[in-house]
Amino acid sequence: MNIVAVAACPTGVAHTYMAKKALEDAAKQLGHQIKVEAQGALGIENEITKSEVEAADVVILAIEVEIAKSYRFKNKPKVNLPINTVIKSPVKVLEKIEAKLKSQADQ
Amino acid sequence: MIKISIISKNFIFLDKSFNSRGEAIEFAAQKLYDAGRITDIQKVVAGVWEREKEFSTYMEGGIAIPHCKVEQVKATTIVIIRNDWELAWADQQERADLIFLLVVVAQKANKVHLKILAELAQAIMDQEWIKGIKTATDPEMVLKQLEKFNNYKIN
Repeated sequence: MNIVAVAACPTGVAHTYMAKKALEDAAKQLGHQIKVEAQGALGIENEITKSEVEAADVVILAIEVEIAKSYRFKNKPKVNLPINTVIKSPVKVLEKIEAKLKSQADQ
Repeated sequence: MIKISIISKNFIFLDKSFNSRGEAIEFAAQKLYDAGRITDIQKVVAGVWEREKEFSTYMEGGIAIPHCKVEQVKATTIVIIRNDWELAWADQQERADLIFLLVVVAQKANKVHLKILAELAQAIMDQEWIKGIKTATDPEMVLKQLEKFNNYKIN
Protein backbone atom coordinates (compact mmCIF):
# COMPACT_ATOMS: atom_id res chain seq x y z
CA MET A 1 0.00 0.00 0.00
CA ASN A 2 0.94 3.58 -0.42
CA ILE A 3 -0.12 5.33 2.77
CA VAL A 4 -0.14 8.86 4.06
CA ALA A 5 -0.93 9.46 7.72
CA VAL A 6 -1.31 12.28 10.20
CA ALA A 7 -0.61 11.92 13.92
CA ALA A 8 -1.84 14.48 16.44
CA CYS A 9 -2.45 14.20 20.20
CA PRO A 10 -3.91 16.62 22.78
CA THR A 11 -0.64 18.03 24.15
CA GLY A 12 1.42 17.43 21.06
CA VAL A 13 4.57 16.52 22.93
CA ALA A 14 4.72 12.73 23.12
CA HIS A 15 2.05 10.52 21.56
CA THR A 16 2.13 12.34 18.22
CA TYR A 17 5.73 11.29 17.73
CA MET A 18 5.19 7.82 19.14
CA ALA A 19 2.42 7.19 16.62
CA LYS A 20 4.64 8.47 13.84
CA LYS A 21 7.39 6.04 14.73
CA ALA A 22 4.95 3.16 15.28
CA LEU A 23 3.42 3.61 11.82
CA GLU A 24 6.76 4.05 10.10
CA ASP A 25 8.23 0.95 11.72
CA ALA A 26 5.15 -1.19 10.99
CA ALA A 27 5.00 -0.05 7.36
CA LYS A 28 8.65 -0.90 6.91
CA GLN A 29 8.10 -4.33 8.44
CA LEU A 30 5.14 -5.07 6.17
CA GLY A 31 6.67 -3.56 3.06
CA HIS A 32 4.31 -0.64 2.66
CA GLN A 33 5.21 2.84 1.62
CA ILE A 34 4.24 5.46 4.18
CA LYS A 35 4.65 9.12 4.97
CA VAL A 36 3.57 10.21 8.42
CA GLU A 37 3.02 13.87 9.13
CA ALA A 38 3.26 14.95 12.76
CA GLN A 39 1.10 17.81 13.92
CA GLY A 40 2.32 18.53 17.42
CA ALA A 41 3.80 21.25 19.57
CA LEU A 42 6.51 21.71 16.97
CA GLY A 43 3.92 22.55 14.33
CA ILE A 44 3.57 20.55 11.15
CA GLU A 45 6.52 18.27 10.49
CA ASN A 46 7.17 16.01 7.56
CA GLU A 47 4.28 17.67 5.77
CA ILE A 48 2.38 15.62 3.22
CA THR A 49 2.30 17.21 -0.21
CA LYS A 50 -0.60 17.36 -2.61
CA SER A 51 0.96 14.88 -4.98
CA GLU A 52 1.64 12.47 -2.14
CA VAL A 53 -2.03 12.60 -1.18
CA GLU A 54 -3.00 11.94 -4.78
CA ALA A 55 -0.70 8.94 -5.02
CA ALA A 56 -1.84 7.43 -1.71
CA ASP A 57 -4.23 4.47 -1.51
CA VAL A 58 -5.41 5.46 1.93
CA VAL A 59 -5.15 8.21 4.54
CA ILE A 60 -4.72 7.20 8.18
CA LEU A 61 -5.77 9.80 10.70
CA ALA A 62 -4.42 8.95 14.15
CA ILE A 63 -5.67 12.15 15.66
CA GLU A 64 -7.22 13.18 18.97
CA VAL A 65 -7.59 16.84 18.10
CA GLU A 66 -8.67 18.81 15.07
CA ILE A 67 -5.87 19.04 12.59
CA ALA A 68 -4.73 21.74 10.22
CA LYS A 69 -5.16 21.37 6.47
CA SER A 70 -7.57 18.45 6.65
CA TYR A 71 -9.05 19.65 3.33
CA ARG A 72 -6.13 17.96 1.63
CA PHE A 73 -7.72 14.57 2.21
CA LYS A 74 -11.13 15.33 0.77
CA ASN A 75 -12.30 12.56 -1.54
CA LYS A 76 -9.66 10.11 -0.31
CA PRO A 77 -10.39 6.87 1.55
CA LYS A 78 -9.74 7.70 5.18
CA VAL A 79 -9.36 5.62 8.31
CA ASN A 80 -9.79 7.35 11.66
CA LEU A 81 -8.13 5.68 14.61
CA PRO A 82 -7.44 6.46 18.26
CA ILE A 83 -3.78 7.39 18.54
CA ASN A 84 -3.25 4.82 21.30
CA THR A 85 -4.43 2.01 19.03
CA VAL A 86 -1.87 3.00 16.45
CA ILE A 87 0.89 3.10 19.07
CA LYS A 88 -0.09 -0.22 20.64
CA SER A 89 -0.74 -2.36 17.57
CA PRO A 90 0.45 -0.62 14.41
CA VAL A 91 1.03 -3.86 12.48
CA LYS A 92 -2.48 -5.09 13.16
CA VAL A 93 -3.86 -1.70 12.14
CA LEU A 94 -2.08 -1.79 8.78
CA GLU A 95 -3.06 -5.41 8.14
CA LYS A 96 -6.70 -4.61 8.78
CA ILE A 97 -6.64 -1.60 6.49
CA GLU A 98 -4.99 -3.62 3.75
CA ALA A 99 -7.60 -6.37 4.04
CA LYS A 100 -10.39 -3.81 3.90
CA LEU A 101 -8.97 -2.11 0.82
CA LYS A 102 -8.57 -5.46 -0.88
CA SER A 103 -12.12 -6.55 -0.18
CA GLN A 104 -13.40 -3.24 -1.53
CA ALA A 105 -11.33 -3.64 -4.67
CA ASP A 106 -12.73 -7.13 -5.21
CA GLN A 107 -16.31 -5.94 -5.17
CA MET B 1 17.79 32.06 36.50
CA ILE B 2 17.22 28.39 35.90
CA LYS B 3 20.43 26.93 34.64
CA ILE B 4 19.99 23.20 34.66
CA SER B 5 18.75 21.71 31.46
CA ILE B 6 15.58 19.86 30.65
CA ILE B 7 17.34 16.63 31.67
CA SER B 8 19.33 16.46 34.87
CA LYS B 9 20.31 14.08 37.62
CA ASN B 10 18.29 16.20 40.03
CA PHE B 11 15.10 14.86 38.48
CA ILE B 12 15.96 11.19 38.31
CA PHE B 13 14.55 9.28 41.26
CA LEU B 14 15.32 5.58 41.57
CA ASP B 15 14.29 2.94 44.10
CA LYS B 16 11.25 4.86 45.27
CA SER B 17 8.47 3.25 47.26
CA PHE B 18 5.32 5.19 46.42
CA ASN B 19 1.97 3.53 46.95
CA SER B 20 0.01 5.30 44.23
CA ARG B 21 0.61 7.20 41.04
CA GLY B 22 -0.80 10.30 42.72
CA GLU B 23 1.85 10.10 45.41
CA ALA B 24 4.58 9.81 42.79
CA ILE B 25 3.31 12.75 40.75
CA GLU B 26 2.87 14.97 43.77
CA PHE B 27 6.38 14.14 44.93
CA ALA B 28 7.75 15.11 41.53
CA ALA B 29 5.72 18.32 41.48
CA GLN B 30 7.10 19.26 44.89
CA LYS B 31 10.67 18.73 43.63
CA LEU B 32 9.96 20.82 40.54
CA TYR B 33 8.51 23.56 42.71
CA ASP B 34 11.48 23.52 45.09
CA ALA B 35 13.79 23.95 42.11
CA GLY B 36 11.74 26.85 40.76
CA ARG B 37 10.76 25.03 37.59
CA ILE B 38 7.03 25.28 38.31
CA THR B 39 5.20 27.97 40.25
CA ASP B 40 2.17 26.05 41.51
CA ILE B 41 2.15 22.41 42.56
CA GLN B 42 -1.62 21.97 42.55
CA LYS B 43 -2.17 23.50 39.12
CA VAL B 44 0.51 21.36 37.56
CA VAL B 45 -0.81 18.17 39.17
CA ALA B 46 -4.32 19.13 38.04
CA GLY B 47 -2.95 19.65 34.53
CA VAL B 48 -1.55 16.14 34.57
CA TRP B 49 -4.94 14.67 35.61
CA GLU B 50 -6.71 16.74 32.98
CA ARG B 51 -4.49 15.22 30.34
CA GLU B 52 -5.01 11.70 31.71
CA LYS B 53 -8.74 12.26 31.24
CA GLU B 54 -8.25 12.54 27.46
CA PHE B 55 -6.71 9.08 27.40
CA SER B 56 -4.39 7.21 29.69
CA THR B 57 -0.68 7.81 29.23
CA TYR B 58 0.10 4.26 30.29
CA MET B 59 2.30 2.39 27.79
CA GLU B 60 2.99 -1.29 27.40
CA GLY B 61 5.85 -2.61 29.50
CA GLY B 62 5.09 -0.97 32.83
CA ILE B 63 5.70 2.56 31.61
CA ALA B 64 3.62 5.72 31.97
CA ILE B 65 4.31 9.15 30.55
CA PRO B 66 2.03 11.57 32.37
CA HIS B 67 2.47 15.13 31.15
CA CYS B 68 1.00 18.60 31.04
CA LYS B 69 1.51 21.90 29.33
CA VAL B 70 0.29 24.66 31.64
CA GLU B 71 1.29 28.24 32.30
CA GLN B 72 2.60 27.39 35.78
CA VAL B 73 5.50 25.55 34.16
CA LYS B 74 8.50 27.86 33.96
CA ALA B 75 11.03 25.40 32.61
CA THR B 76 10.29 22.32 30.54
CA THR B 77 11.57 19.32 32.46
CA ILE B 78 11.72 15.54 32.23
CA VAL B 79 11.31 13.79 35.58
CA ILE B 80 12.01 10.08 35.88
CA ILE B 81 10.67 8.01 38.73
CA ARG B 82 11.43 4.34 39.11
CA ASN B 83 9.31 2.71 41.78
CA ASP B 84 10.22 -0.55 43.47
CA TRP B 85 6.84 -1.99 42.55
CA GLU B 86 4.20 -1.33 39.93
CA LEU B 87 1.52 1.27 40.57
CA ALA B 88 -2.00 1.07 39.19
CA TRP B 89 -2.45 3.62 36.42
CA ALA B 90 -5.86 4.33 34.86
CA ASP B 91 -7.16 0.97 36.07
CA GLN B 92 -5.84 -2.17 37.76
CA GLN B 93 -4.77 -3.67 34.43
CA GLU B 94 -2.43 -0.78 33.77
CA ARG B 95 0.54 -1.13 36.11
CA ALA B 96 3.61 1.05 35.82
CA ASP B 97 6.87 1.13 37.73
CA LEU B 98 8.69 3.50 35.39
CA ILE B 99 7.26 6.99 35.11
CA PHE B 100 8.39 9.72 32.76
CA LEU B 101 6.72 12.92 33.88
CA LEU B 102 6.98 15.72 31.35
CA VAL B 103 6.10 19.27 32.29
CA VAL B 104 6.11 21.60 29.34
CA VAL B 105 6.09 25.39 29.06
CA ALA B 106 2.74 26.43 27.60
CA GLN B 107 3.70 29.54 25.65
CA LYS B 108 6.67 29.81 23.34
CA ALA B 109 8.21 26.56 24.43
CA ASN B 110 11.82 26.17 23.42
CA LYS B 111 11.97 24.26 20.13
CA VAL B 112 15.05 22.35 21.13
CA HIS B 113 13.25 21.16 24.26
CA LEU B 114 10.20 20.07 22.26
CA LYS B 115 12.46 18.16 19.91
CA ILE B 116 14.07 16.39 22.85
CA LEU B 117 10.62 15.39 24.13
CA ALA B 118 9.64 14.09 20.70
CA GLU B 119 12.83 12.07 20.58
CA LEU B 120 12.29 10.81 24.10
CA ALA B 121 8.80 9.65 23.11
CA GLN B 122 10.30 7.60 20.32
CA ALA B 123 13.07 6.24 22.53
CA ILE B 124 10.46 5.05 25.03
CA MET B 125 9.07 2.77 22.33
CA ASP B 126 12.44 1.08 21.94
CA GLN B 127 12.60 -1.86 24.34
CA GLU B 128 16.39 -1.97 24.27
CA TRP B 129 16.58 1.66 25.30
CA ILE B 130 14.01 1.14 28.05
CA LYS B 131 15.99 -1.81 29.34
CA GLY B 132 18.91 0.54 29.88
CA ILE B 133 16.73 2.80 32.00
CA LYS B 134 15.17 -0.07 33.91
CA THR B 135 18.47 -1.72 34.77
CA ALA B 136 20.53 1.39 35.51
CA THR B 137 21.95 1.25 39.01
CA ASP B 138 22.35 4.98 39.58
CA PRO B 139 21.05 8.30 38.21
CA GLU B 140 24.29 8.83 36.30
CA MET B 141 23.59 5.71 34.23
CA VAL B 142 20.02 6.82 33.57
CA LEU B 143 21.30 10.18 32.44
CA LYS B 144 23.73 8.56 30.03
CA GLN B 145 20.95 6.46 28.55
CA LEU B 146 18.66 9.48 28.34
CA GLU B 147 21.23 11.43 26.40
CA LYS B 148 21.29 8.91 23.56
CA PHE B 149 18.75 11.07 21.82
CA ASN B 150 20.78 11.36 18.66
CA ASN B 151 19.59 7.88 17.72
CA TYR B 152 16.02 9.07 17.66
CA LYS B 153 16.00 12.03 15.32
CA ILE B 154 12.43 12.77 14.39
CA ASN B 155 13.11 13.50 10.75
